[in-house]
Parts: sequence; C-alpha cells; structure tokens
Amino acid sequence: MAEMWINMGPQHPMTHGLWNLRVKVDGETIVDAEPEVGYLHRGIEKICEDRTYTQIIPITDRLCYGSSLTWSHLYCLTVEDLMGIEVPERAEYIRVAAIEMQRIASHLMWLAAYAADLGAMIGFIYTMRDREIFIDLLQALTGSRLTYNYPRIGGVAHDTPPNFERDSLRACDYMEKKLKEYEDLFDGSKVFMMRNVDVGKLKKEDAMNLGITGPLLRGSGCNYDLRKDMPYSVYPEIDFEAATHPDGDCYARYRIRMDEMYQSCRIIRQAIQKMPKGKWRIVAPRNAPAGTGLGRVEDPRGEGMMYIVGNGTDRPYRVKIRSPIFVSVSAAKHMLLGYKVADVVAIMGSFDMCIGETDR
Amino acid sequence: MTDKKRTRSPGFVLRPMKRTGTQVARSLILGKPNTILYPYQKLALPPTYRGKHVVDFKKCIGCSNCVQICPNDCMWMEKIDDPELGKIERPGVDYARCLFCGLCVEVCPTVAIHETGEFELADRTREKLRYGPKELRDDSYADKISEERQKRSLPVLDMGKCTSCEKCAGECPEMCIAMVPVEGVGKKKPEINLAKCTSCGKCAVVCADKALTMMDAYESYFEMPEPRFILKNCTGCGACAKACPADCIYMIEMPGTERVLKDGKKSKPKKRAVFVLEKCVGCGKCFRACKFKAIEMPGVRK
Repeated sequence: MAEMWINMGPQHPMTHGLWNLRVKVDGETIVDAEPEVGYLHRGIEKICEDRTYTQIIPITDRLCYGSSLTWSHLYCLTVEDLMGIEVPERAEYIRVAAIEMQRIASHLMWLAAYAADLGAMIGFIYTMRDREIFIDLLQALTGSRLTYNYPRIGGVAHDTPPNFERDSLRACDYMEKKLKEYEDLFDGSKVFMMRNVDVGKLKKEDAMNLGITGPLLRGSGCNYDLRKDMPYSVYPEIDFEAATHPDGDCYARYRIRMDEMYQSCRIIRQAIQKMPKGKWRIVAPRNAPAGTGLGRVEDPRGEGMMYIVGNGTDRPYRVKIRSPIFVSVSAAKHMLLGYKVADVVAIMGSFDMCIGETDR
Repeated sequence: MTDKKRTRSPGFVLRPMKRTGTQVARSLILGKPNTILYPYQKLALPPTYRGKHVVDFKKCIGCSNCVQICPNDCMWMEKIDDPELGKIERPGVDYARCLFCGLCVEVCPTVAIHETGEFELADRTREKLRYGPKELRDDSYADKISEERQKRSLPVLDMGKCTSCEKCAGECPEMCIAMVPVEGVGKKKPEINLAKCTSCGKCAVVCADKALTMMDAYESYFEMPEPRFILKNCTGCGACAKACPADCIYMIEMPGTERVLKDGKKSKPKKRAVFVLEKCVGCGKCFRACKFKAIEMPGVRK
C-alpha cells in the first residue's frame, strides 16, 4: 500500500498548543514521524536581555501556562546563584509548598486534557473541578490565578495569608481522597486501560540516550528525579519518594503522575509543618556581578534549566532556558513507530506538551 | 503503587459507576452544585488579588518609579493641574498592555498605588482601556484595607536647617551617624547608616535646630540606584532640586565664590546641590533634569 505523510497540526485537537506532528502512515500503521515545533516562538530569551533582573520575573511566568510558578522559581534560583544570595528559610519552605501545589495543579490539568483526549469527558470535569482548589490556594498566596509572579530574587513577594496552613492541609486531605476516586474512574475503565496499556512503549536505553527527563524517563524505569539526585531549596530535609514505573508505556506515565500527586501532598504537609517563622525576603542587589549562574529544577514536565550570564549591570547579558518538552518531543518517533494513527492521541497526550516553554 | 493489581470485568463496570453514582447523589440530594452563576454571583477574591489599580493622589509623590519598573511600558506619567494639590504628575495605566504583575505596587516608596479586586475591565475600544490618573484616583482606598507593608521610623535631615553642630553624631548609641564634610560649602553633614539605625530617635531629640526629625518610611525590598554628584560640572541652576519628588536635594551657597561685577558690587555666591541620600527614592529625575552632566546614575536610562 502507498505510504503518505499526514500533518497532525498546527491546528489539531491532539496537539495542545501550536505544533505540528508529521506522521508517515502505511494504511493505519505509523512508519515514520517527525515533530515540528517553533510556531510559538516569542523570543523570550532575547526579551530578557533588555529587562532588569526584577522585570524578568513576570516574563518567565509566561513560559508555561500549566506551571508558571516553577519557571519563575527557577529563574530566581538561578539569579540567586549568580548573585550569591542566601534566601531566608521561611521563604524556601513557602516556595516548596507553592511549587508542589503548582505540580498538582499542572498534573491535574494534564489529566483533564488526557482524559478528554481519550474520550473520558467525566475525567476532564472532575479533575478541573479539583484543580480549582489548588488554584484558589495559590491565588490567596500569590494574588493571581495563573501568572503568579510570586518568587522574588532573595525570597518571595509577601508572607502567607491567614489560614493558609489550615487550608492547604485540608486541600491535601481532600486531594488524596479524590486521587482514589480518579483511580477508580481511570484504572477501572476498560476503555482507558485498553488505550493505555502497552501503547507508546519507550525503552529505558532510548529514553536515556535522547536526554529525556521527568515523568517520561521515570515511566521507563529510570529513577532520576532532580529533587532527589541534585537537591535544591529545602528538598533534602523533606521525606518523599520519587515515583518510578518499569513498563514505559502510556499507562506507566499516567501512574507516575498519579503517584507524584500523592508525593506532592506529602511534601506540602511536611513543608507547612516545618515552616519556621521569620523573614520571607531580603533586599537583593540591583546589579549582578560578572559571572554565570546555573539553576536546575524538577519541573512537572521534566528537568528545567536556566543559565544566566551577568556582566555587572542590572540587566543580564544572556539568558538560556532549557525546556524539558523541547528535548522530550524528539522521542516522538521512537514512541510512535508501529502503532496505529488512533494511538497518536494517547501517546502524544502522555507527553504533557506545553508549547509556551518549548518554543520560548 | 506500581504493583497495583489490574481490575477484572465486573470491576470495570462497578468501580466507575460507584463514583459517578456518589457524585449524582451529592448534587441531587445534598444540592451542592460545583459551579456558580457567574455574572450574578461572584467568587470571593482574596485581599492579595491583583486587579485594576487605584492611585492615592495625596500619598503619591510623582517619582515615576512605577513607570520605570513596568516590564511592558504600560504606564506613563501625566501632568495634571489639580485644584487642591497644584501642578502634579501622576501615573496612568494602559490595561490593553498591563500584565497585572504588581511590581508597580511593590516598588512604590510611599505605598500610594494599590491593586483592587476589580477585574472586569473589558471594553469595546483600545482607547477606553487607557486609564488616566483621574480615572484611577481614589484617595481613601488605603483606609479600606489593612497595611500592606511594614513602616519604619527613621531620622530625616533638613539640610537647610542643619548647622553642623555634630550633637547627633555624639548622641547616637549605635555610632551610625558620621559627619561628612560637604565640599565647597565648608560645612559638615550628618550621614546616617540606615542598616545600623535602630530608630531610637535620640538624634532627633538632641537636635537644637530641628533639622533632624523622625519620620515614618515604608520598608522597601528594592535596591534603587543612587545619584552620583560631580561638583566641577555643577552650575548651581537648581533644576535637580526642582525635579526631585522626595525633596532630598538642597541648593546650598558656597562661600568664597562671589564674583566682582562691573559696577563694583559683589554677586551672590555660587550654589551647589547637596544630596540627602537617606530620603532618595532612586527615581532618576535629577539625573534627567541635569543638562550639565553633573549627576550620574548608572543603570538609569535618560
């Protein structure tokens, strides 16, 4: 039978953003695939060169709509490394609690989109409803629903609101109850399991060779979590486990994210309980010294990295952003080969694509 | 969790159905809906919410720090003639470009600009989204909310009254006041190390001429640029002192610089600018006003 190329994207329900997946099909079987990204390039790295260090924080929020707090946290971490600032301990605990809430919100949004992709509309509605609880918590903490602009160089913007501790502990209890409900809904659904188990297999060797990080790598059986392997902030003082799954299929990636949400609830509880009283922010210098700063964090989607070169002025000379999805999407070919066209939605959905950070 | 046992056929039906059933029962019997009727009912917003701005005209000093920190250049300073306050400059916001990042509120040295919970700003034209200072004005907003930032009592110097008696430096228990000679004037000026100051107020009590007074200032987390003064370029025109919104530049006469005029009389002595940097808000207005390159401010754009 004749082979042909199909453009899935840039406007396609599968893509979750502006990108194009070209697949070569033989009948219904995929024989070749080629992802194309770059439709949403906004030149954020270049924009940053013309802004002062404080002004960049709201711009790094715009990198990823799903987990904006992680990126502004990563930026502040990098600038603190460049300037050599010690952050007050309370600020570190507030940051950890906030980015774990962001991780839950991000994974819930992924689960909502994934469920809707696979035809489980009820999953979309339930998860979006429960995501609202964490968005409300973050809104009370930071003052905004999606683009938080909360971390600052040398701490966080302001202290926790009253009742924040109580509300976040309640939200964790509620979330753990609801996660069991999702397990019943998804793991208990025959359709969901048939479209997930043994679909989109990614070998451990392939994943490691391609430089993939995050849930995709851990779903292939490799235990690599930056929160454990290269701890930043106050993660060494917090007891949690990095979730792994040996299967390497779409179901494994789904399980990883579910387990990560359990672990995030654990981290939030510990961070709230261990949070000391005191200052939450220090005065940061306006100018950064000449030199380089490097920051690496475990984003909900993988390893995010930033590299900033300072030249003694109040504006950075160069900002480099390493996006986890930009690297992960190169595995599309390895995961898609041999599966049917209908599986593309499930396989690419399990990537948790976020084009804002991919194209920058 | 990885070795979770896979469900068999009856479970595939019963487990999701049980969950769906509980949800239906919850909404039907308990009557607890998960949504609200938006335009009629509204969600409660937290006090930290960042929405439309209000500007307190009486607190605002017109320093334009908010305009300078705005990452999107969506603010501007507008000159207005107020019947009560005279000729003033106040900020306006273009909501077609605003990011609602809240940096303008954080950087304000007098906490004159606030963000309210108002978020329904949609309009039909772009021009209507440009909110001038008069539309943003609300002088009583600060009374409605609790204090956002911590205040600190600090000694503030009035250079015109200071007689260089050095009493304050002798009185300070923390030894944080240093008498620094002012070049050309022949006087000394107390310079206060604000990092060491404990706000005890002893220097203000001992000052006979009431040049040092204790005033409340908001704590700022931003390190602002400071003006650097070059005496040899200064002509004594006083443009910087006029431009300074925080009144921290004083024009002081330099004795011994009088010139003999044609009719034999002596002219007035030349003046120079003296900076009281404890009051400086780092706005850069003096730097922009100076036409003779007598003030340098690295990092500030002209």
